[in-house]
Formats: sequence, C-alpha cells, structure tokens
Amino acid sequence: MAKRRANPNRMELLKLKNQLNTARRGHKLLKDKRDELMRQFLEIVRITADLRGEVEELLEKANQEMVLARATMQTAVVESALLTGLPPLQLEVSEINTMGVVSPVFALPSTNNNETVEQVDVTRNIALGSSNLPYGMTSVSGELDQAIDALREVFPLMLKLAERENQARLMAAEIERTRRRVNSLEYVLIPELMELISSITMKMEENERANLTRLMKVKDMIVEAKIKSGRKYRTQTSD
Amino acid sequence: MHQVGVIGDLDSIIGFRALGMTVKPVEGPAEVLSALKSMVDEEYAIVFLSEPAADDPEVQAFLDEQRHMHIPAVILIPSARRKATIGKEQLRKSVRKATGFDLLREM
Repeated sequence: MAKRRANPNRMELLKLKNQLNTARRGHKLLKDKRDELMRQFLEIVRITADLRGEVEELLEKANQEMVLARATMQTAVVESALLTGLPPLQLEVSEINTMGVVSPVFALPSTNNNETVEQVDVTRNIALGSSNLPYGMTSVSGELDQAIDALREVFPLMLKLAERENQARLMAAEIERTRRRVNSLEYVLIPELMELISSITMKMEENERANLTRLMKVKDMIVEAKIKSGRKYRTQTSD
Repeated sequence: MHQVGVIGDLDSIIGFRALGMTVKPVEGPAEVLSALKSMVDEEYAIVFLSEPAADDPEVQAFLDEQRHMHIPAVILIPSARRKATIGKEQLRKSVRKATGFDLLREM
C-alpha cells in the first residue's frame, strides 16, 4: 500500500476527519445494502432452485414424449408438421428494480395491444395450454400432440424460471460488486485515513512541544540577559 | 417486443417450434457460438440452450462475458440425451460467488 503524505496542519486534519466521517457513513450504508441484497438474493435463489427442478423434470418428460413421437413418425414428417406458419412468439420485456438491480420481466403480450386478433389468440392458446395444434391431424400421430402439449404445459414455468434465474445472476453480480466496495472501504480507505489523522495529530503535538521548549528557552535567555544587565546596573549605581 | 430462441440438438428442441420459438439446431461448439451471437445481436428476450451445447469452454466463456447483460436471459435446459446438471451447477456457482458459501448443497 502506497502511503499517502499529508501536510501536518489543521486544515488538512479537518479535511481528513470529514473524509473519514463520510467513508464511515458510506461503509455502513453499503453494508446494509449488501445484507439486504443478500437476503433477497437467497429468497430468489431458493425459488429458482425449486423452479429449475420442476422445469427439468417436466422437460425430461416432454423430451421422452418427443422421442416416442419421433420413433413413430419419419423425421421429415415431424419437421414438416412443425414447420408451420405460426407467428413467432413475441414477449414483452419490462423491467423491475430490486435494490438498484434492474432485471427484465417477461410477459406474453397482453390482449389490449393493437395486434391482430389472430395473433392474440395464438399467444393466448400457448399460455393456456389449449389443444389447438398448429398442424393437420392426418399425417401426424397422437404422440406428437402429447409431446407438444407437455411442452406447452412447461412453457409458463420456463418463462418464470428464465426471469428468476436472470434476476439471480444479475443480483449475484451486484452483490459481488457491493461486497468489494464494502471491503475496500473497511480494509483500505478507512484504516488509511485513520493512520493519516493520527500521524498528523502526532506531528502537530510534536510541533507544539517543540514550540513550548523554544519559548521556555527564549524566556530563559531573556531572564538571563535581564539578570546580567541588572547586575551591571547595580554595580554601576553602587559606585 | 423480443423473440425467444432455442439452441441445441434437433431432437431435444424441435417441439418448441410449435410454441412459436425460433429453433436453431446446432452441432458442435462453433455453431452454438455463432447461433448464440446472432441471437444476442437480434435482442432475443430468452435463449434456451440445451445443456450438451453449453458444455464447452468457449461457450462458457461467451456466457460469462454476457453475465452483466439484461437480455437475453440464457437458460440451460436438459436435452433428450442427457440429464441436466450444468444449470444447477451454475446457479450454485453464482450463490457461492455472491455469498461465499455453498448454500444450495443442503437444499
């Protein structure tokens, strides 16, 4: 650690003391922020872990269904069945702010948007897990229907998982940053300021003592001079 | 409005096409990377990435770089061929990074 040097005078001392006060206050605030962030983060992580378990389980089931479906049909048939004219799924992204961490929130577009009715219907169907499938019934086996249904069932959970996991990730980064700042205040800036302040006070005290001894010495010299001159005077007058 | 993408092996992800997601079947880390990059550039809201596709140092490095971005949220999903482990591992890693403890172990 490179040592900072400061002039030992009162102005500097006052400035450093103010700085130390600010640093202490900032440290306390940041520490509180870190603790609260941590609390919320753990809550989110717990939810995320549960969600993830659930989603993974459901997706594995859906995957099994899909494997079954593909076993009963040719790859080309499955692919062409799923290559539909569905409008691409669009999500509305808004933001929420938790403790200064801005994270996105995903939502299926709401109905009061000025979209075409058709599109709204489709998205609604997805959200509700309706059985309207985007392909014809003739060439496709029932297993595929089940697989798609299973996926539709998971989808809202996946959306939620994405939201939470993203939030957890962003919060973890923020906690890390805050912790670094807390530590650098606690272990670097505040000790450094305290050391500087004590060294300045010590130097000022030392100066004070030096001054005092100088004054005493000067006084001694004056008295000595007076005594000497007094003697001279007395010897002169006694004659 | 933002789209939703899926990257992975065809078997695991083709069903998502019926939900209107953009499905990009890939083979090999290079394809995964280029698919990911294009989705990041097009501002997808969520990218679901199948776990085997994410199991590559270069892909991981790219994801680490993206850690501070708000979107896309890159979420790992299990594939048809393998059980999911990396997603949980990543969650645990971020907990360890934030708190200094491995809190998820007992959960």
